[in-house]
Amino acid sequence: MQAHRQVEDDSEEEEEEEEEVEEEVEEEEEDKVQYDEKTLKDPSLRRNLRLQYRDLILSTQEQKSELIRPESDGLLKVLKSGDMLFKQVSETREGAMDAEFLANITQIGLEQTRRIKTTFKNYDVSEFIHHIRRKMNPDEEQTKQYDWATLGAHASSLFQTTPSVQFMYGPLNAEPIQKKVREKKVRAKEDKAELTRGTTITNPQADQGAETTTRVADVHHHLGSLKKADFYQFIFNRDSFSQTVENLFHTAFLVKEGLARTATDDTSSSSSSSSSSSSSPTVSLADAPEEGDYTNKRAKKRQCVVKFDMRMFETLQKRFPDGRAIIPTRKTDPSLYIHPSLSTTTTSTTTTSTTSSRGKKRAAPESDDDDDDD
Amino acid sequence: SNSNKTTCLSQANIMSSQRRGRKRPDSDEEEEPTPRKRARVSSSQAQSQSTSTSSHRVSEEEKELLISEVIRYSLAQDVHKNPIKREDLTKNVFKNHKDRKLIGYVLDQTKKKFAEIFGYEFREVSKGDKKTSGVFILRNMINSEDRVKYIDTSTEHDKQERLLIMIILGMISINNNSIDNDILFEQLHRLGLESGTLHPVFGEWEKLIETTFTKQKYIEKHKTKEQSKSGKVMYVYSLGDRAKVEIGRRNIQEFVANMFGEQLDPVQAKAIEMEEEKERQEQEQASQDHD
Repeated sequence: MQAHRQVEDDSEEEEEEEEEVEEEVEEEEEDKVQYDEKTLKDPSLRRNLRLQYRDLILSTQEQKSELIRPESDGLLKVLKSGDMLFKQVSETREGAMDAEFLANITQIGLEQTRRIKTTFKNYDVSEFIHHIRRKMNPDEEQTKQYDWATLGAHASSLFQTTPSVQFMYGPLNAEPIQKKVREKKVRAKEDKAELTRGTTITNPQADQGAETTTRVADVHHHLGSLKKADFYQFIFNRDSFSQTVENLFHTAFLVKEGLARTATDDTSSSSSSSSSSSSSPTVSLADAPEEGDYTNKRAKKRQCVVKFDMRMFETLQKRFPDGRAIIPTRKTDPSLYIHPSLSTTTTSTTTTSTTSSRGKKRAAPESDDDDDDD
Repeated sequence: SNSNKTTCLSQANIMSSQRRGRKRPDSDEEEEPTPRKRARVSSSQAQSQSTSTSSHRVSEEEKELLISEVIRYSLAQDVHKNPIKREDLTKNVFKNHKDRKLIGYVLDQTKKKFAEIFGYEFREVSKGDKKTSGVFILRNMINSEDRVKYIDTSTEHDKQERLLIMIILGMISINNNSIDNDILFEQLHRLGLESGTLHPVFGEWEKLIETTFTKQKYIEKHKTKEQSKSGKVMYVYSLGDRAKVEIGRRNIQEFVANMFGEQLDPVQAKAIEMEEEKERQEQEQASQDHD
């Protein structure tokens, strides 16, 4: 048998190995037929051989399903027949047919090996399906309604699957998260940005504060040159209501500091005193009290409210019809104006309460208090 | 069974489990190793010591982060029933850390954490004679009864699909671990699955088998050199990795036997069990040596 296979591999060397075959034929007990070279090359014999081969191949194909059954040894028999035929082969054509035959039976052999059960109990696929079907469709008469669910529950219990998790946030990201590192970078950048921003902010309110101080000093200077004046005339600026209010405000500062003094003077120095009351308020230069004066109660702090509105302004316009303002008009820079709601600093210039050591007046620009002290 | 129930509950609260996972660096040392795992624990501890003294100096915090990342990546893949490949982990999670010892340590810890926190087994599949294949599949360790009772999230459709898988696996098992696709389809036809038509339950059922189940690794598809009578190329289906991990050959055999109204032959059952156990031990040894 083994020599047989060797020979089949080399169809080219077949003619050379003829003699080998002949030798082996003599060796085998079963075959005692001897062929000589001349007989083998006989065309009619060859034709016959080819016919036999064809028959063998065909019958093998037909029996295939039977042959592949593991229990059957039909394949062995077929192989033996093939062996016998091969002994007569001397030419390539028949050799090729033998090769075809061999290819077929090897395939069948492979199939058979596949089907050989290594398990103890041998079940049949077809029967298996038959049983399954019975379980899923108990009433075979009905139309093909197969119950996959019931048996499915049983099958499902055998699956050790991990539970499938659906997150509300969406499916799990396969890419690793990189949050932490990035956060740190962003923070670093922010710090720098804030730094640069900080230094470029100019604070007009602060500047205005400084301006107020200079203006108060200015008012003080003017009062200094006059020594004493009618209060309203002093602050009045006929061209601008707002400037008047500011003058009043600055004067109030002076009073608070004690650098100015307000009084009601019975003898009015104003030349155009009208039918209004004979006492009119005056403002005059004064010396500021010292700390000691407050502690030994020689000086007291008092407050009063001064009302000043548009009507008052118009009254003053009538009372002092001509003349330039004592305190000159200041130029206002519109760019410096910041609406109170937008200012970031807390120094407010809109309301100030001032205390005066003497005197009864408290200046509050645009105040609407009823307590007015004309 | 008490520990079983706690892990059941933790499976049911998977979201919070993930958070818990990140905050437990100390618990690993305190764990009681089972006799089988004892050798592995001591060697992994030795590994962790050597990792900390290696030239790369990966901090404890970074290690913990890596472990969490592996867990997260694995869970993300597992949702789609993709197997977790070692090479993907190296690419996506480990990136710059190429140190094999570190990777080995991290994977080891991942296995522990999965078991402790989720009750999952992070198992490496074996491919034939090669015990380590670099492919991992997550398996639920909770026993069947508790699982079905407390944490099973599968829908009816899931169960139907699983029955189909089971039937195919049964046929493969009977047919000595491989079955030609035309025989398979021929038999399925008897169950109402007609070629080329949409099935009321499964829809495009051929695609389901040929693509989905294959991709999920329940079955494996190989081309044969043979050609069927119609001239189409033939496929042969065999048992997939996931089926081996999630179900096991023994359960498949048992299912088959039950369909025949019989019990699984105890001797046969024992034989398969021993075989599978041996396989698993060899695999653990191999994966240890590999790292």
